[in-house]
Amino acid sequence: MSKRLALLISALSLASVGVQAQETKTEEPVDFHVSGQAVYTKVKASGESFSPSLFQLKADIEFNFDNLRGIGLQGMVGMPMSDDKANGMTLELTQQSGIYVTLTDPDTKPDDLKVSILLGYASTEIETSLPSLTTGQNKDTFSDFSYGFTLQDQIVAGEPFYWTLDVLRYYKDDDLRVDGLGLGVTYAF
Amino acid sequence: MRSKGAALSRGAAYSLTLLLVAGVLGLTGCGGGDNGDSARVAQTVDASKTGVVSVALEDNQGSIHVSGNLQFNLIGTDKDGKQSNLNDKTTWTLSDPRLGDIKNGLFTAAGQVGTFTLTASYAGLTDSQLVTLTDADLIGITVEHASGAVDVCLNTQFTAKALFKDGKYYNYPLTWSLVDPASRELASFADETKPELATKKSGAVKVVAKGKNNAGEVITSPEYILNIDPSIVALVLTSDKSTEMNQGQTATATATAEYRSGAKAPITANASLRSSNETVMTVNPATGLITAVAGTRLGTEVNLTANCDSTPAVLPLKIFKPEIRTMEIIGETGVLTSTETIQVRVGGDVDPRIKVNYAGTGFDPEVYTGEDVKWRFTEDSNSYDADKITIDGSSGLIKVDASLVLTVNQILTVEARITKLNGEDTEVGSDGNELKDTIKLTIRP
Repeated sequence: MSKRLALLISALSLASVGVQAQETKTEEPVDFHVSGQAVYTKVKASGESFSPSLFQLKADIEFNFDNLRGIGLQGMVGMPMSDDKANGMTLELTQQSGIYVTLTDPDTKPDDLKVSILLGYASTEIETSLPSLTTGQNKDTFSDFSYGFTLQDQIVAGEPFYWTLDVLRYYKDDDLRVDGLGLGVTYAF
Repeated sequence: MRSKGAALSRGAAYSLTLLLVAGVLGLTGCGGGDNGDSARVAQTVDASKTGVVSVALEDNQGSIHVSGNLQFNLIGTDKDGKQSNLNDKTTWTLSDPRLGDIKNGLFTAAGQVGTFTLTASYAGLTDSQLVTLTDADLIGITVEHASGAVDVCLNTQFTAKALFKDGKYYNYPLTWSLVDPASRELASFADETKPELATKKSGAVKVVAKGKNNAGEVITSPEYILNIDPSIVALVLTSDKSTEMNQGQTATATATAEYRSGAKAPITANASLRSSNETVMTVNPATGLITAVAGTRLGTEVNLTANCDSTPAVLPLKIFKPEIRTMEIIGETGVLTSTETIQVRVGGDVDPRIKVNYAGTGFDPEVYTGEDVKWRFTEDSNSYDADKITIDGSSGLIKVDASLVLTVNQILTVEARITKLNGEDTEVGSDGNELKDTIKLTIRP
């Protein structure tokens, strides 16, 4: 599944390069955005929840031409802002990255509330530390299909800044679940 | 969303996006990265709650028969020395997975001889041991029981020790049976591969366990005689719902035995539950699930009975129809479709029916069979020949005497109404209207 996703992303990247080549001929076939946001995460394991926070930097391109209108490509990297503790155990998300295909209603106007679905692949590095155990710190990276949605709305009419609210599932298996709620600002080029 | 006057050039933004995407692809390993140990994360969280600081595999004989199994136990110890079993939270791994399968510490051999290292991991703490799989031949079986006796109608567990040619005992697949018909009258093994005996009557039963050796010969244990004590002093039947049930409802009955020792125990599956009328109510004797099959508006009485070693119990139940929503008069035959009129010829008779619709879902309309119905002609008895055109006030049967002289059709109006229980007033349906209907009767010459 993840390899197929990588192939899809590669195809979209190639398509976007083609679009760049045509950029001088057609009228702005792609939109660009960058975002910075604070993310409140919820990591659930063995009936306990931890809420370390992240700062995420995101950039995306959104296609404006016929067949790919409403489709975009987004990359994300996350850095730790704070860890969380419970029962003497510390849990921190030390690194995160993700790549998504974004799906947006192509008829959304610049001043509309923009709702996008994100489907992609995310990788989250988790560091756990329980001093009572002799095993010390452990660091694991969890990668899987990731999905969610994002809402964007203009902060001031006519200005290129937007509030952004993300709700995403980064990872889930039988033992562990990582979700995130992000709030930040997006700049549209 | 687009800014016409962006400070950063679109080319630079495009490059930035592609760079970030490429970087992310690299970070995520193009979707092919190895996943971390999420079980260890969960175990570490668990250890933070339980306080476990060390783990160790519980002592065992370290060898297993290739046809058998063995339960391993990983014991966690906290800083105060308190121990707990961690089997269902542990990650169990075999150095050679071809030799068997392990889940929650229960190893089941795959039939091959060999050795493997079993490793049990919890929150990064591990313990391991070498395990040998043997195909030693079965030479004897001994049946054991904790006390040699059991209160009647209780289930009881046996154990068996299977002795092998290497002088060791292993867990081994055995079958369990009762030796003679007299024993089988008193008790039974529901699953012959499991050593759980269900008892129903008091007396002594003879139990054996059997297994096959490597040559396929059946090795049988000596007979073990178990006494089933006639110790029951009372049996009580209860339902988890009201004893007044609506048709279609289910409930669970429980039979509870009281013994001479004062102990009480649920014995539902061994208490021979029965319904006194299976057209009204059914019961699953194994689970105690009772189903109200068919009731009446006044309620149909039915008994649920139980019996353990000649000690009976009875639970009287009453099965009702659900509340009637509407009613209408229909013809005497055919499907339950509405009709505008009913007809009868001079010298004939007609017996109209009442169709009722019930409140709630899941109940089909049906012909009403209750006796609390009043029938009549709405016309004054002087307006027709009441001696020759009659209607039975209870059944609704209409008769037209052959001596009635008619030259044209005569039309009368028939009314039926369902009365309140123990009363003459008309009952009100669940939709708020009286349960009453009229229909035209055409009497043809």
